Amino acid sequence: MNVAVLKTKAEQALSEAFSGAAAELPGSSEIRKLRLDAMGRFGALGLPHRRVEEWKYTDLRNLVKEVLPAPAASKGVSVADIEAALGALAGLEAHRVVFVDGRYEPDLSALVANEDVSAASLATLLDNDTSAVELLDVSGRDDDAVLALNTAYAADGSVVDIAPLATLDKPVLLVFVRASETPAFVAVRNVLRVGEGAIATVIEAHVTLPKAARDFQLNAATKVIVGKGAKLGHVKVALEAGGGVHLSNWLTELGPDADYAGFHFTASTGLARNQVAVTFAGEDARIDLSGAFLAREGQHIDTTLVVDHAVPKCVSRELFKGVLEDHARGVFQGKVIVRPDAQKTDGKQMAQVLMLSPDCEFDSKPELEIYADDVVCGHGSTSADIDDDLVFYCRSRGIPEAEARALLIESFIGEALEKVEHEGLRDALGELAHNWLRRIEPARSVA
Amino acid sequence: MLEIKDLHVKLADEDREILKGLTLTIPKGEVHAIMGPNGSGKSTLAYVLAGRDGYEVTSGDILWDGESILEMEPEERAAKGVFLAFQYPMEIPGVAGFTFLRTAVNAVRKARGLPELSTPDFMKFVKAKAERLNINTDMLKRPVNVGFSGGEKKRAEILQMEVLEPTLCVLDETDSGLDIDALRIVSDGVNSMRSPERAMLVITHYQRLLNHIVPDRVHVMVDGKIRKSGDASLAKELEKSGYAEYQSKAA
Amino acid sequence: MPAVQETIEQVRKIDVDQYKYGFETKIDTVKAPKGLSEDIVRFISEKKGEPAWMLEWRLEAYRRWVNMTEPTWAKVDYPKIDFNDLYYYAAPKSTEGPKSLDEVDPELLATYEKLGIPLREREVLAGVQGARVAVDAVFDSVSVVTTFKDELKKAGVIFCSMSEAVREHPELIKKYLGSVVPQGDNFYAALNAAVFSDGSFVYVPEGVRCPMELSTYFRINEKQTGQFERTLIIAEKGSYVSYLEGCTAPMRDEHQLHAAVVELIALDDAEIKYSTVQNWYPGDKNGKGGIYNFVTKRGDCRGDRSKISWTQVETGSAITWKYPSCILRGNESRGEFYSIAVSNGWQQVDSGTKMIHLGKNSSSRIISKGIAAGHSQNTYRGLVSAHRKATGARNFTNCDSLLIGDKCGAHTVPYIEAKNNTAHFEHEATTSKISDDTLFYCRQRGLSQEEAVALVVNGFVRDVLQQLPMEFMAETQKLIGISLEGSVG
Repeated sequence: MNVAVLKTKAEQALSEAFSGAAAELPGSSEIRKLRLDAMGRFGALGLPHRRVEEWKYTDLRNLVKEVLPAPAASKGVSVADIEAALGALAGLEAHRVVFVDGRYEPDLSALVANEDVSAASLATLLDNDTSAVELLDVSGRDDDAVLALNTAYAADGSVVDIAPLATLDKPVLLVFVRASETPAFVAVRNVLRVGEGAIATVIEAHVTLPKAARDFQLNAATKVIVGKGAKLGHVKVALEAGGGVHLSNWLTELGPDADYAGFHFTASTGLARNQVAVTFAGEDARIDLSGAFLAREGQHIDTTLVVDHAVPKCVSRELFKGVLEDHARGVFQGKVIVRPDAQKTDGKQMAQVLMLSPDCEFDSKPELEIYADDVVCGHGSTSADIDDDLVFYCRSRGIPEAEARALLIESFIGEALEKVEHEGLRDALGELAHNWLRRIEPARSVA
Repeated sequence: MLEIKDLHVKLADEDREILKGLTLTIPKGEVHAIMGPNGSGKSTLAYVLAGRDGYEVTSGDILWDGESILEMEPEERAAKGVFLAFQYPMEIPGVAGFTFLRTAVNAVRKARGLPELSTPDFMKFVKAKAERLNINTDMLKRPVNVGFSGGEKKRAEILQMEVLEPTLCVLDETDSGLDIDALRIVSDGVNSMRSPERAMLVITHYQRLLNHIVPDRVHVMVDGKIRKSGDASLAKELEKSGYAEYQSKAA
Repeated sequence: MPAVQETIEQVRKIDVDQYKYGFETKIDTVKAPKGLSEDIVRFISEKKGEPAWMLEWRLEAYRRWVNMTEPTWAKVDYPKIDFNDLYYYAAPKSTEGPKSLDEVDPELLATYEKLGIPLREREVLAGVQGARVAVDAVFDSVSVVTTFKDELKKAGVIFCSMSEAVREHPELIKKYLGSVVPQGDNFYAALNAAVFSDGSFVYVPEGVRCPMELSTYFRINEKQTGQFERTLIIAEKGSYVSYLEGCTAPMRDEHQLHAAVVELIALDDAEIKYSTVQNWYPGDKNGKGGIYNFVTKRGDCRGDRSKISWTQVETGSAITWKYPSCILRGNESRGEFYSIAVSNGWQQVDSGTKMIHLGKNSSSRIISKGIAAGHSQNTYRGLVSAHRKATGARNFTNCDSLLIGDKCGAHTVPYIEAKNNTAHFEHEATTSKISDDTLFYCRQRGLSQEEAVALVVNGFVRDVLQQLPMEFMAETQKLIGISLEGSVG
């Protein structure tokens, strides 16, 4: 880890490009300094590689050889284009906030801001609000090079505030559309602040226009602060349909008695890393982290979770389900930490993967780090092909083999989807999974 | 009519012959019972009839309605009316019983050239069948067999049998682990399905079930072969004398 | 929860100070000069009268070691070791040269008797247990005596000290030494390869079922001395051997280093069962002294249908760094790892296993039970991997941890790597404390708090205890009780 290595081409390019990009990025001098510090940290850390324990199975230094330029301004994207790209999610009634290639597009958005909810553009806040520095700040996470890059480069994103005691009538849907016809690098930073006692669902959907380039690099981070007694459903749907790189970071902090349900749905992305770090800041809070990942061809989907029980009497549940075909690779790393005084912690974690081809690979590292005795913690991890006996049982009831397999795979994923509380969203995700399994994909460029 | 002709079966990845020239004919309208000690090959026969992987038919044939089913996939056989009630029904987490049965019924109907049932029609259809069997359809809301007691699993199998309307029913040790009430529901179900259009094969270790399902013929199977056949009284005889006589013959 | 509070108090009181093997044997020794260099390696080799090829092998290891750094990934924390402030060779004066039991220094015999290890064959034969176990006794750097050699010889089994094997069976040593754990495998294995002093050698010929349990008893006695033993067991086709090792050391204020290497080779249809009861001095209640136990143990299921089973009961040592592993090379080969790791006081345990599936239809099973009390840290670290060609590989892993008191830690760090879809891997782990309800239930039925804890702990580790040879089960059960509580049982 502390071996001095020569910088790779990509690392050099990221450092060099920053001096050019810095002037264009929003923010006061204080924010500029924050970005510069972050870039300094990245320079020292470099891209994470397999000798960094947390990146053992996803060697970014090896997988990211080149850095893509910033996107050219895209024009002529219509609401209809976005509806089409959203596919199964289009029918969802929601407060819609749209970003095209990382830039906020008010004309494409449909957010009725009221006293319950507001969604501001990060870029605007950084330029105008002196207290906005906290939106970019990620102190305490100085060892994360990807997050440092995000702090340095984030040009825009959504700052969603939900008022105390508000109950949103419909979810907030943040749509991140990939439109650039040339390969591009985009960094996005979102902030979700849920006031005390509020109830809301926020969805981040990453989708692609048919003409967009196959290749892309996305570095997205979302800071989530859930206030006392508040309840947030937070779902990310990654459907970039391309050969690009999707790096995501969720940093969630829960107040006392808060309830947080996070869900990651990831399908058909060249390389995806979904990191979630949850810190319990108050007692009696509860999280339910879950997700489904579907990968085929040479796709690589990594789920890395750190749940930090820093205070007593909190509950954490994790359930991730994966389906791997062809020579796809799935990675699951789940760490549950129970700090010395976090008595009465209840933590359970499960990762299950179906491996459908002889060439796929699943690496799992469920980890428990426990310093308090009055706890009930456990984890499990399984990986295997579909159970032949189950297939035979279905076939003996007259269900053809292909249908039997699809039924079993869907029900397997379905157990994770059950965790999504919003019914319309759950159905939409079910449809996305159903289509993925049958290789029904939204139209896209054949570039 | 089911015709099993001089059937030799071995395990696919082991040179161990399990069925050693089994011959058996069951005309439609009749219920036959196969009785035999553990390891005699009873369950293998059930699996081979349903087409499970892992077995190799080295010689002989199985005809159903005059047509060899050996080359058929399990689902094709199901479409042809073959139903196996499993000794240990599989648990399928996450798949509700209704979904499972609807998928199966429509797949079978499609293969039989019948129109598929809409969800409401299917619900009506299943409810009627379940009522006839005195089975509560609430169990179909739960995932298939998950967390079911032994008795519940067997009842669910009988309900599936009723719903899929097979013409050849094979019941593999359906009585194992049943209390008397469950046994009655199962045997009532089977008896109510007796019809001139349907052949049934009841595989059992004990005579007990045959008090409730009175067979037309009883066959004694030991070491992969039918050793003796007779009417229902043969079962009672076996209850007294056991299989020892046949086992020594086989050895 | 008054019930549990009491338990904690009790356990706190009865800490590791009652280590009953902590006495020192006063005996004249021959030592190598302090420190490590090529000259020391030559000194050790010469003392043992080794042939030139053996010395070369050691020097090669030493040269590699000089360029290696200590591993830091384990969850253990200790001050840097000064490898030049240690003695690498110490031997009781009286045991130099050939030896029979009658020539063994009576002080030594008394030591082993005190430890409960009978070395006189007739005593073993007359023993109440009736169990016959052949013993190789290793005192500091040398093997002092090996029992039942003649009887084993009749069966064709070779059981002797490593030193003797190098002299008497060079063809086997040349063929197998370092073939499972190569000289440069890791920092401590390289150190061991350079300076290993003695250890046991077992060779079981084709088709032979070893007629009795074999065991080695390791004792560190000398101050500031590292112990570096090396064990090599070869089971030829269709053979079977069960081997048990035990370890103790005197109580000393300083830390002592123990860096052993064990290599097992099982050919077609062979089976090796290797059990360890490790009870090195764990240090006092303030964490002063105790053994640093940095051990590399690995078995190679080289043949088809071969089987290697590791069972370990780890109650001692200040720090344990140990991962008995299986390379499942043969088709249908099987690896097993059963572990009980008890930590109390300021002990740190980082232990587990690796199951590397290379052969088709190879299977493995891991059952690990960790019990942490006092201020100790107890980590399970394991790897299960299936190579692309290891079709049909199967693994089942179960890691449970039990915490007693709120100052200790229990950690689980599994790595599971499936590189083909016919591999079927299942892993489960739980961490909990003894439930108040269970304790109350036991007490309501008349058990004392202490008995209740012992009962629950013994239930918790039962699956693993059953894997131990019969003769050692009861004693081990007692040892676990003592490690945690003192006088239970």
